[in-house]
Amino acid sequence: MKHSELLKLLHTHKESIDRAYREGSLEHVSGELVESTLFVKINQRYKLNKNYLNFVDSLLQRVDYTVIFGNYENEYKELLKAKKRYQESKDGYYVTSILSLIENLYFKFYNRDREIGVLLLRLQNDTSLDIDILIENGADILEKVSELIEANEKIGAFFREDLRGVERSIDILLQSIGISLLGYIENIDRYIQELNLFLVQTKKRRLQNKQFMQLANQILSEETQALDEHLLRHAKHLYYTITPSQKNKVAFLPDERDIAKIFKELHSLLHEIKVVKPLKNAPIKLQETQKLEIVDLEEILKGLHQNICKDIFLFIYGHPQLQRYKEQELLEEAFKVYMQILTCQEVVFTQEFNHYGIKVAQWV
Amino acid sequence: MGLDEVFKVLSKGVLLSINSQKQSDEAKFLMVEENFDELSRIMKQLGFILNGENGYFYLSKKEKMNDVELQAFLNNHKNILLCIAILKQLFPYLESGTVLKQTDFIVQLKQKEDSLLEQKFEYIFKTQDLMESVERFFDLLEKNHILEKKESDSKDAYLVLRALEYYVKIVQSTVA
Repeated sequence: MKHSELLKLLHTHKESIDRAYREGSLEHVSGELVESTLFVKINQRYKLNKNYLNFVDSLLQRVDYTVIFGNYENEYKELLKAKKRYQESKDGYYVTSILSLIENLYFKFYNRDREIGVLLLRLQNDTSLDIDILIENGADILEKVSELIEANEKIGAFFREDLRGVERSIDILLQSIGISLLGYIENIDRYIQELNLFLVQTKKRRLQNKQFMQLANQILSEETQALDEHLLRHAKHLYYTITPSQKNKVAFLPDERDIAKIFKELHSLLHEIKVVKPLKNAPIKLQETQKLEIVDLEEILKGLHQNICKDIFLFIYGHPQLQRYKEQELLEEAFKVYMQILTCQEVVFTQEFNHYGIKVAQWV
Repeated sequence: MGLDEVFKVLSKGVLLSINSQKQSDEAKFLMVEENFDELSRIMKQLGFILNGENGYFYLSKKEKMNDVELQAFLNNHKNILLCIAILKQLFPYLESGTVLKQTDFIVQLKQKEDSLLEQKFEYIFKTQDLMESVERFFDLLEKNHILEKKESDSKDAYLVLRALEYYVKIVQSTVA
């Protein structure tokens, strides 16, 4: 199969390939996919070939905690063999083999650097796993990465010292990958530092969680002597904490000494202040002589005694004592006098109202 | 932002966290050493202590408490410590800066079905009604400056504030 045909096959069956990637396996797949070895039948179901999965995971930066980094021992042995054979025979075939093996090693370094970086990021942000399992995974990765140090240095030294000068094209390749390779080797130290820090912090968090659980259990079982003692010892410092539950305020009241001091200062201050009396410009109202007009009630009562009166109000209304009043004023004054007379024992009320709407009262 | 505005907040008994979104101006103000020192000096004259600890600030006062105040002080601390223990049990990775959702909290709570958890809720809120307890749980932690609503109009997302460390310190000093 040509590469272009493989790409076409992937495109044609992209939906079932994607479903198998997401779901893990399929019950039925096209025969073409099985023939191409993209799918392998395991336990009555079709699974994507591990090589394809590794390739996709690597591109998508999805790395499992169980990843096996391995070492470079096989490539190293092959390189030693090819170098020896080239030096003996000077056959260009071995140069091609050496170049291919160097490239393979470079890809391994490149992919491992990415994988470790992704794993570290995943560890630092993983909140789905139990904290104990996460610590175990972190410790496993640290062990695997630590094992790489020796292998990395061995290959680095081999490239720098043993392969230089063997053949020009090999030197050119080594020169072009040298800086990146050195970076990948140095990154391992940084990853180890970060992994150690992550483990320390996660273990600290685990301990802290356990301490909270322990204290919570003590509170529930009312065995809080140590906590009470600690809080009481620091109670003065933590005084603010009771206030939100009461008034949500910190109240500060000055003591007597402070008050006395404030009074003293205020006293001296007030003595120094010169008070200027403001000039009063308010207009003065001239006094007016007011003539008091008084109705002689006795005179009206006398008249009531002497006359047979069917409506006291009408009698008052027409009395000469109220002659000086007109219309509404007359009505008001008559009513005032009427109200005063009503308190007399001689007054008897009828059920009627006069045309002013006032209850008719008679003098008996 | 000035000393008076910061004092206005602190005098309400607030634990002012540096990662608070609502009070970020006040926290930023106090993170400037000169401002902290100046307010600290004034507070000292008034008889208060301005505390700046592990990412949070608060005022305290050296004053003797009566029995009622002391009991309230102890109970308040115990309730909050239990609340944080519940949070840590449901979300082991929780720390200051974590965004916590009330809906996730309920999901986790239902999944756990732990009698110890129920016991803690009952101890704090004196009720067996779980939904009522959850509402009160978030209110309590918000009032005590451990949680802060992420957005004022959303009821679901809460930010864990740095003031959490105040209680972590108590736990570390108390439990071996």
